[in-house]
Amino acid sequence: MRSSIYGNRYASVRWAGPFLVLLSIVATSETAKGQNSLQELVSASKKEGRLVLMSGPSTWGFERGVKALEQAFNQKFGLTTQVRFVPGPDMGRMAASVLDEQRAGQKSSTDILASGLDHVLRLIKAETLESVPWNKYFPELGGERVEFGGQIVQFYTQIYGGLYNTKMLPDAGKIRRMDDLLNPKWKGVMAAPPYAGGPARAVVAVPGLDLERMKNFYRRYNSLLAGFIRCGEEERIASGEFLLFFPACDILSSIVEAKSKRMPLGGFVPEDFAAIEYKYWSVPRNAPNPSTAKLWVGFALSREGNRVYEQHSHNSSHLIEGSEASRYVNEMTRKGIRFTSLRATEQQHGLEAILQVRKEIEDILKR
Amino acid sequence: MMNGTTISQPRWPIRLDARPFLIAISGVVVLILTALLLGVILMSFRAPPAGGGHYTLNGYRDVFQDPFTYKVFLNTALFSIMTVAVALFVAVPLAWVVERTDLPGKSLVYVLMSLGVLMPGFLTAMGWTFIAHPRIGLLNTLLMDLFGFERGPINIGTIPGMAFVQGLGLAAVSFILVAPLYRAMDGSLEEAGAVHGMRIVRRLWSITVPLTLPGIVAASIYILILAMSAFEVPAFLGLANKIFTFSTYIYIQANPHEELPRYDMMGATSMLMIFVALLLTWGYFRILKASHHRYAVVTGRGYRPKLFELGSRWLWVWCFIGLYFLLAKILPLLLLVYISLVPYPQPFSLASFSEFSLEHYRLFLGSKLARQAALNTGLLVVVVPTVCVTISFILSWIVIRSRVAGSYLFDVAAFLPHAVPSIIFAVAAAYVALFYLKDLLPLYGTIVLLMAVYTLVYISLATRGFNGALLQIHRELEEAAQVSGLRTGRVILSILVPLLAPAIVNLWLWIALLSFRELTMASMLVKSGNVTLPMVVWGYWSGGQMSGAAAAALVSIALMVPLIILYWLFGRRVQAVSVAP
Repeated sequence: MRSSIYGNRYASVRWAGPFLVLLSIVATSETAKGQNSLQELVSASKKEGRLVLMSGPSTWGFERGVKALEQAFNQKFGLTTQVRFVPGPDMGRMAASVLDEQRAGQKSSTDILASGLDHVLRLIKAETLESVPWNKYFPELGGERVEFGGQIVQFYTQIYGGLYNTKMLPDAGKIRRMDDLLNPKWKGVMAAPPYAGGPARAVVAVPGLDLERMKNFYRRYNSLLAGFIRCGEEERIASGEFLLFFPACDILSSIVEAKSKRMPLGGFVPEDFAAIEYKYWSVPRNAPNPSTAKLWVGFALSREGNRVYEQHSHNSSHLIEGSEASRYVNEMTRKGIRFTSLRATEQQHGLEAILQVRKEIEDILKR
Repeated sequence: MMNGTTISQPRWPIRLDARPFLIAISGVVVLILTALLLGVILMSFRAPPAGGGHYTLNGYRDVFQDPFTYKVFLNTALFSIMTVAVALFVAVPLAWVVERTDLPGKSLVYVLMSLGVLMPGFLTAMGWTFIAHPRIGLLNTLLMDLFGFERGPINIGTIPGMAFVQGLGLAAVSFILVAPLYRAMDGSLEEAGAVHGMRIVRRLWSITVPLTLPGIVAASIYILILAMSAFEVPAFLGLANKIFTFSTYIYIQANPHEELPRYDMMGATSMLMIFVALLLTWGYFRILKASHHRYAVVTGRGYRPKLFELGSRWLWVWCFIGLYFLLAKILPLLLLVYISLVPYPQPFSLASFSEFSLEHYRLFLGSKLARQAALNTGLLVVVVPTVCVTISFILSWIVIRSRVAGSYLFDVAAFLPHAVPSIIFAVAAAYVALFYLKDLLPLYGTIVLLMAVYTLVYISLATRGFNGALLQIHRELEEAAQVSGLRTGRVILSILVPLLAPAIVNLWLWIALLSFRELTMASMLVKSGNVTLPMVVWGYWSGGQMSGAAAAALVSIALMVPLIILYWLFGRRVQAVSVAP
C-alpha cells in the first residue's frame, strides 16, 4: 500500500515536466483561438441557423425592429439566420421562466434574456447565465458595459426623470429639483408608477439623497398624486389623461418615441435625483442557440448594429458615441446635472437594503 | 315519442351501458383538475422564484399581515357586487326579451353580444377614459361647456364608475348564461298566469324569475368571481385614481417591476378566493338541491315555449337595447376605430382627424408573427370549445342526472378553476408541465398545453350553463325512455342532446370566443411555438403602442366575424329545430 502511494507521487512528479510543456502549448493555442474566435462564433452560428427572442416587445423595437436587425445581421456575417420574435411577459416573469426552465433541465424559451438590475442579480446568484468573453469577440464593446465576468452586458441606459405634457403643462419644463414637484397647483394632474425600485436604488447610491428625505418627499407627493400608471405608458401623458409623470423609468426613450409620433411630451431631470441605470442582455446557460445569441448581442451593440437597433427601439446606451443617450447625457452634464451611475456590480451588495427602502416607499404610495 | 318524433331502437349489436364510461371520463377530468389545484396550493407555499425548492409561509404572511390588504378587499367587494348588479340589470331583461317575446330583429342581439366579448378590456377602459374622464372626457367637456363647470362632474375612475364599465362588459357573459334558461322555459306556466289575470310584471316576478332562479344565481356567482379577479378595467381606470382592487393589488405585489414575481403571494390570495368560492358554491348547491323538484320547466308534456307578444312596446324595448349597445359596444368600438387611426390616443379634435392613417393596420397585416398567431388561435378556437363542451356535458350529466353518490364533488371540482385567478392556474400548469410531465408528456411550450389549460378553465363556465339547462328538463322524459328499454347513452343522444342543442351551440360559440380573446393564461404559457393573437395585441399594448393594439384588435375581431355570422345563421336554425312542436 505504502509503495503504491509513493509510486503515484513519483508518477505525478515524473509527468510534471511534460504537463507544463503541454500547458504552454495549449495556452499558446488558446491565444490563437481567441484571435479567431469571432470567426468561430460565426461558424457555430451558421450551424444553429436560428435565434429565438422572447421579451417585452419594446426591448427589440417590436417585430419590425427585429426584422431590420435580422437583415443587417445576416448581411454583416453572411448568414441566413431565421429569427423568431415572440412578445413575452415582463422582465421579471421572463427571468423566472428561464430560471425554472434551467432547473427543470429544459432549454430556455429565449436565446437572449433582457433584464433589469435586480433580476440579473438574482439570476447571477442562481448561476443561470453564461460568462461570455465579450471583449474577446467584440473588442470595440469596451470593458465598462460588461459586468460580472461577461454574464451580463449593458444594452441601454435608463435616465430617471419626469415626463410632462408640453401642450397642457408647459411650466413643468422649469422643474429643477424634486421639491418643485410639490407645488399644490399640480394636484390631481400627476401620476407615478406604483413601484419604487428606482427611487430606492437612488436613495442608496445618489449623494445627498437619504431615506428620510425620500420618504418625506413621497408623503407629500403622494397627497398630490392623481393616480398610478406604468412606465412605458407615456401615451397617457400625451393624451392629457395625466399631465406629469414622475419618476419615469427612462425619460429619454419616451421623448425619442414621442418625437417620432409627434406627441406633446417633454422631459426633465431633477438635479437632486440624477441617476442612470442600465438594462442588461445575457445568454442563459440553457439557451438553445447560444452562439447566435452571442453574435447577435455583439452585433446589436456594435456601432453599425446599434444604429439599426436604436432607430427602431429608441433605446440607446450613452457609452456608444453618437447615440441619443450620449448626446442627452452630455447636454445635461453641460447644464450642471451630475448623474450617478447605478451599475449591477456596485448594487449587488446593497440589494437587501434596497428592497427594504423600496417597500417603505411603496407603503407610503398605498396610503 | 317526444315532440312528434319517434325515437328509433338502438342499432348497436352490443348494448353497452355508457354510464361507467361517463363516470370514468369525469373522474379523470376531476383528477387532473384536483392535481392542478394542488399545484396552486403548492405554489402558495413555494418561495420565490418558483422552482426554488423550499416551502414557506411568507406569501400568506405578506398578504394577510398587510392592513392595506383589507382595504383592498373592501374595494373589491363593493366593485364586484356593483358589477354583478349592472351585469344582471342588463342581461336578465335582455335574455327574457330575446327568448320569450316576439321582439322584431332580435337575432341581431346575439351577433352584437358576441361581437362585444371580443373587444379587449383595456381598450374598452381606455375608450371610457375618453368619454368620462373629468378633464378630457367628451361627456365632461360637453357638460363643462354647457354649464360652466370648472371640472367635469362625471368621474369614471371611481368604484361605481369602474363597476359600470365592467358590468356592461360582463353583461354579455351573463346573457349567455341566462338566455338558455328562458329559451327552454315552458310558456304554459306564464300563460296560466295570464289566464288568471296576472299582469306582465307580476307574472315575471312570480313565475318567470323563480323558475329561472338557479340559473340566475349560478350566473351571479360566476360573474361575481369574474369581477373579483377582473384586471383590465381596475388596472386602467382604478389605478389611475389610486383605487386598488384584489387583482391590481396582487398584480403590483406579485409582479414587482424590478424583482422576480411572487407566485407565493398570488397563491396565498387564491386560497382566499377558493374559500369565498366554496362558500358561494355551498349556497349554490342549496338552491340546486331544492331545484330538482321546483324548477324543472321542460317536461314531456308539450314542450312549446309560446312567445309573449310585445305589441307596440317593442319600440321601448329596442330603446333599452339600443342604449345598452351604444354604451357597451358601439361607443367602445368606434373609439377603437378612432384610436387605431391616430398616431397615439388623443382627445377628439380637428387636428387629430387630420392625422388619420392606416399605418398601424399596414404594420399588423404585414406581420409574420401575426399570421402564425392567427393559425394557432384558429386551432384553439376549434379544439378548445369542442373538447370543453363534451367534457362539461358529461360532468353536468353526472352531477344533475347520474345519482352517483357524492356527485356534487364533481361539480365543486369543475367550478373551482373559476375561483382561482387564471394567471396562477396557468403558472401551476406550466410548472407541472415543466417539472413533472417533461419526460412523460412534453407539453411545455406547445399549443397542446394551451388547449388543455383553456379547456380545464372553461369547464366551470360550460358546466354552469349545462347545469342550468339540465335542471330545466324534467327527468320524466329520460325515465320514460328508460322504461321503453333505452340505455343511458341512447337516452343522452336521443333526448338530452337534441333538447340541449341550443345550449350546446351557445356554449360552444362562447368558449370559442373566450379562447379567442384569452390573454392572461396565454401570457404565462406562450413560448415561441404557440404564440396567439391576443399576445400580439397585448405586445403592442405593453410596449406602449395603444394605437397599434387597437388596429390589431380590430383586425382580430374582423377575423372572427365569419364565425359569428355562421352562429347567427346556424345557431338560430338549431334552436328552431329543437323547439319545434
